[in-house]
Amino acid sequence: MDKVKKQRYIWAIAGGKGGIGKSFVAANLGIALCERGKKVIVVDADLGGANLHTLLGIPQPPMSLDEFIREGMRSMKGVLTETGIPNLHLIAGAQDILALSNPKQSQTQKIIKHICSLDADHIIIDLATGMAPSVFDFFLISDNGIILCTPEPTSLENAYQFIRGVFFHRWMNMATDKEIRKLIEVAMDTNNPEGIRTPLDLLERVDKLDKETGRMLRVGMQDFRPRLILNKTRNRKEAELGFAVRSVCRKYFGLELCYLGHILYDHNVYLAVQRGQPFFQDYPGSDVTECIRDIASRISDERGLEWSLS
Amino acid sequence: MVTQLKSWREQNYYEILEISSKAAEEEIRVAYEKLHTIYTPNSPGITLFFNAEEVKEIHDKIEEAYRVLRDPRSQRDYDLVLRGEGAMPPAPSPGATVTQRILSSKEIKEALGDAEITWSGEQLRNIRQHLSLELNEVSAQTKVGKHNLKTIEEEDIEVLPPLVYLKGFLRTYAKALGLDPHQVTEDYIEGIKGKGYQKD
Repeated sequence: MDKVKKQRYIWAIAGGKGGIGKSFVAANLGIALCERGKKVIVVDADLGGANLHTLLGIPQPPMSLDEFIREGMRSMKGVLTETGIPNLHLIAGAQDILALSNPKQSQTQKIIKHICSLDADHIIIDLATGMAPSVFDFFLISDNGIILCTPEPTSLENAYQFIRGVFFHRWMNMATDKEIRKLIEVAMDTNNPEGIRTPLDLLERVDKLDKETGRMLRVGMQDFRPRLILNKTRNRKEAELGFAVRSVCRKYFGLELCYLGHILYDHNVYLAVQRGQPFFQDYPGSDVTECIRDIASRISDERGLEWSLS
Repeated sequence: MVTQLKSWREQNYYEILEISSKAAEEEIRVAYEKLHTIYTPNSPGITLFFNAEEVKEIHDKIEEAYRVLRDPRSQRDYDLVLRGEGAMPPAPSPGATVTQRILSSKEIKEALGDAEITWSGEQLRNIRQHLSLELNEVSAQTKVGKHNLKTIEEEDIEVLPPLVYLKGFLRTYAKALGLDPHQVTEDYIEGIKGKGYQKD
């Protein structure tokens, strides 16, 4: 959550792997927050594969981030699209896939700056797959980005890699010393020859170079508290995996991860996506919508309460 | 709770159990049960980062932390140490003794299936057998006679000792199996009274 002026929360949704449901969760979490009377804007920052509009039942958004960048617009208001759902607006991703799939640093920074000044109670950002620096930059807009993954080992592995990557990227943004930046760059490679596996290994090395920078990097991580949602869970055991991920983050990364909850697997999600209809509208009483409502209730007023099994 | 950036090897007992130093008794127990289940060999979600040896080390540390924090007296001593006001108390020894066991809800369910838990002689026996414990062993550890343990399991109301002794035996037996002694005693007494036990 990033509180600026009036209470406004920014939730960037990331996950290292494609097909895990980022856009689905972004769209429907947005609807769930609207149900709670919040004003919400969902932003499709998957610049290489924008499709959030489809999940909201909008075949062709009239304007997108493409126009925002290409036409040098000074405000994002001009690219806000009505979704037909009261209080929910969309900022569609680039329609011209090649134009923004690898945004320049300046383009990313411009989009980030304008996202931060949008007028809404909640801004949900659907991020691209993968671990490009621009994805990390979007994720780090707030201290509390959401990492989404499914219970498959491959998805968990990708989520961990994303956490590791974003951790080092945040440090890279903070460090100014050339030698230390170089060290962080080396550490970003999981198979680095220096044998730096964990952020703690890196800190040890940084301390040897400059204790003050080491202290600063530690302090800089104190407010970083990403959230976790497990999607497509099939049973309680899979839902409980979220606690394992949370624990690994604490014990391995020394990172406080908040487990927001899980969303059950339901084949109807696939059918709704095929039809191009918002899931919430087609299945308002399903278990999946209840799971998402539950998560929305936890983030809607900065309660940030963790999910717990009773 | 804010986790400091330090290795799990350097974490204090509260950090190891991932709880605040003000956590209530129930919170400590729930945290322990959750972590106890997570840090087992081949547990999904953790093997990417921890090898089998590390998992075992973390598991042992979780056990050690819980042994200290579940007991208000040793917890108080430990808090003094954390504040730099006392000497490190020895952690209650883990050993292989049956009295150090604390069964998680999951383990109880494994032993009893989906049956409703109202602690009876049969359920106590099922737990004991699930733990591969012989009556002789439990008797040696608890100093409760094998005959009394057997009678408790069989709910032989004619032979069961008077209530005041029975309660003591039940509490000791429950502790030895890693169960909640209060709950076991309460359920068991209610059950046998329903069957006609009258040795108040």
